[in-house]
Amino acid sequence: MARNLFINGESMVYVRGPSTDTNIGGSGLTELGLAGDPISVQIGIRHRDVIVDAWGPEVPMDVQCFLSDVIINMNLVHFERDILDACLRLSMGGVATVGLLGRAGRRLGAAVGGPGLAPFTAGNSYIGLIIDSPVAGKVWRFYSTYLTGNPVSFPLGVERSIVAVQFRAIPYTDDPWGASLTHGGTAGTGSLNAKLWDHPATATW
Amino acid sequence: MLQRFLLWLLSLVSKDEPKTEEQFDLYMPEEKMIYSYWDGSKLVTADPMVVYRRLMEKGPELNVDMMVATSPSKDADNAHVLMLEKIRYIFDVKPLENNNGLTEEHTIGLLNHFLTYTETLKKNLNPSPISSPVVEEEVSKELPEEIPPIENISVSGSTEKEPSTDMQEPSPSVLQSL
Repeated sequence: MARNLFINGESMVYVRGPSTDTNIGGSGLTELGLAGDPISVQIGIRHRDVIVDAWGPEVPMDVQCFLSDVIINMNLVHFERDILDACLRLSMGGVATVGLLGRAGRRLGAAVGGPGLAPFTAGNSYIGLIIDSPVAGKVWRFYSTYLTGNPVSFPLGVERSIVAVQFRAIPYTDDPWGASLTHGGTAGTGSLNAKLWDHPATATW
Repeated sequence: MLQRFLLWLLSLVSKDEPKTEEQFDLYMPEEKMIYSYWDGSKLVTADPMVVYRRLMEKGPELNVDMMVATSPSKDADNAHVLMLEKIRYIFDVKPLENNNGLTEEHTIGLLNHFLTYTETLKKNLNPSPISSPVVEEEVSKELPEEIPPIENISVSGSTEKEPSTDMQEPSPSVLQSL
């Protein structure tokens, strides 16, 4: 079941891409823009009933949790066009130039036919996303996100536009079996402790 | 006839006297609600509606500039400059130069002053002094001399039974349909 949270106030939005990316690479943060109104955070928690004969078919004897993802919607009143293009480019398969396509079926976290890559390394196209709202007083840090679709732009006068963007965060790890995890998780335990988001004290990685 | 003659005589006597407030069929000067402000070299008078339209023209972008200017964005300084340019356009003022024009602080203060002025105007706006007495007279003519008092059928806190909608007579349209 989806649950909506809102990050109130004006929020600064920062991104971080693979280290070799020309626009949002490096080890630091890059400013994507400023959200003028609350940002919605929809946490999709997946549950499935455990039905056993002794309990009958209607009510589960237990419920299993099958991980979660997060949908983040925001309206940027001020944004960097180049940075938004870089996010679009990485979300379209991590090609070198916006507008070009990668190979069909390419994983966002790995090269074609290759193993999963650690986040923020060359070839991994996931985007780190930080939302810093002084009003809400809490920093949201999503580790592996991508743009789900086309950013929608609304002209505002002759100079400015509002652009509505949607990110999806997933609990990516470079090794889903938990053998060698460089991005959270515990070896040999699958998704245990895989990082979806956290709340650092300041807007840093 | 005699009354009309006396009124004519009276009008001749009072011909050179200044007209009273009631005799003006226009707004009094103080009722024109002219907005005046200091542009750095002289006192400017402006129709507040004209200024307001210019404000609305730039409003959405000005709002964004203000948000960015007060944010930790790296473009905050640039947005601050853009914000000032828009305020200067709205009020037709110039930046301070050779002791003429307004400082940045005074330019922002001018916008705040105008917003406060329009807010106060909206709260204290009275009906037109021309039309209100006429309307009152017409209303008083139309109404009967004695208006019967309205019965208070619903007593606060009372448990007295009130007429429900079930007991009300059907409306004429309902009756027609039957």
